[in-house]
Amino acid sequence: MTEEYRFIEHCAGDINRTIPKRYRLQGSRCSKCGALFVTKRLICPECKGTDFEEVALSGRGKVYTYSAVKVPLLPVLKKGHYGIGIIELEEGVKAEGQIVDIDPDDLKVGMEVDATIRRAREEYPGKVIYMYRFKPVRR
Amino acid sequence: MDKVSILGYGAYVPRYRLKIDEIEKAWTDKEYSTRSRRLGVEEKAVAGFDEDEVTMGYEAARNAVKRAGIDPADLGGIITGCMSRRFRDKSVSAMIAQMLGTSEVLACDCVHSSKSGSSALILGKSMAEAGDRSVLVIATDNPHVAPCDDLEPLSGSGAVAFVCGKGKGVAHIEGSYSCSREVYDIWQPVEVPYMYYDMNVSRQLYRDVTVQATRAYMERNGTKVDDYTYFVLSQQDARVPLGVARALKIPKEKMAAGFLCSRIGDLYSASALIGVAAILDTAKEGERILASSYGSGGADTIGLRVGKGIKGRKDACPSIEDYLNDKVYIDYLSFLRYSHVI
Repeated sequence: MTEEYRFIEHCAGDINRTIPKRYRLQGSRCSKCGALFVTKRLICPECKGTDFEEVALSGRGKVYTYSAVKVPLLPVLKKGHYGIGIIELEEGVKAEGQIVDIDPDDLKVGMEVDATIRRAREEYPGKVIYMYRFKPVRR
Repeated sequence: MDKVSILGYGAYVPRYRLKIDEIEKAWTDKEYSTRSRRLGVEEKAVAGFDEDEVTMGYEAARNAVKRAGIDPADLGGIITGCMSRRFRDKSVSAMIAQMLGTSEVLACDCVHSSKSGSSALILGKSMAEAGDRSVLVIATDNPHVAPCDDLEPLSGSGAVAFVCGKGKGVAHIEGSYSCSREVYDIWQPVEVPYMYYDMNVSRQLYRDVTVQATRAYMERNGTKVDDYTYFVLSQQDARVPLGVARALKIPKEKMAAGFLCSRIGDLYSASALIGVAAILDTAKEGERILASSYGSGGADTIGLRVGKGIKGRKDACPSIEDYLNDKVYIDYLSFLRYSHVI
């Protein structure tokens, strides 16, 4: 196993456990106060409640802010420049993710985007990890 | 027994295009250059760096489910036809099922042939007929072709999906006819990374088998060429299917709507079916479509009649023309990078 793979393995955590989040942007809603979160929470920061229900987020929203990455974080990503942004989803919460299918220099605040799924990386040869991405709505 | 229809359809074509001129610039061999020009393909669709047969199949499936207006959790089965699958021991259908958010579903793959998409559609139709839940059929391909190979200018990437189920659909599947022969035209032993290809054998058998299956289908159903508004044949290139159409006495204009090869290349398992999706984008109720898909020495011919459900469902998601017009040209080096060759 190369150093690169070892590093990725450490970051990845349990692949199966993260499927709902990686594939379907599954968030959580506090059963007590109704606060919505993009990630799974153990304690609600609003009401300190500990009971949550899983909610599938629509994935549709608008670009709240973005950044064009010209130098990839890790050489293992082998990717040129790409856009990364914070998306304000229809449900009112903000999710972070890469914005694909567009030149990062063409990104604009307020642009409508929709969630899709793309290859994120490869752990060990052939073990592909897929992850949600955002892409501009074209019609 | 209720009739099974296509309740929804969807397609996905990646936005990157590689002009055949770019390949010719890289490989200056004269014979190679003339050959690719003669086959009539102008440019081909290329999957992006972060795309593969799974992500493209997912996009097409999502569009099909949206058009059908059903919840993915209501699906009884997902059958994926894919020739170029990367895994020998991992189900593409199961991955797409998870991506769509369903797990209580029969997920199986139809593989190892460029007609696996049409075979999946025939199986999906039968499964929907026998059961009470809808079946999602996906045809997706992202072929891995050796650089400078004869197939390189022809192989494109893309996906198409159909939801088969009972009810008022966009098209009714009237019937199908299949024939099969044994041949080595495109084959890939497990220990080599790229496909082997015998162009002459493939072209000859493609003609013979497609003509055989299409004629037999029409004879069995008592129909003639005039009864169909549109014909779609597997598009290995932009020349041979027109020769087959001449042999079957199909007018060129009946082939035009589903003939996408010169713009996106050969999509293998999705080759003929993406033509069907393109036709459904413009078809009117009552029109009939005959589609024939070829692969590994066999051919599947499927007859469709456009139904009442076509109204109002076309605009639910992007049409094929939207995908074809949304394109970015790349050079040969980017193509190699996106294909993970370098």
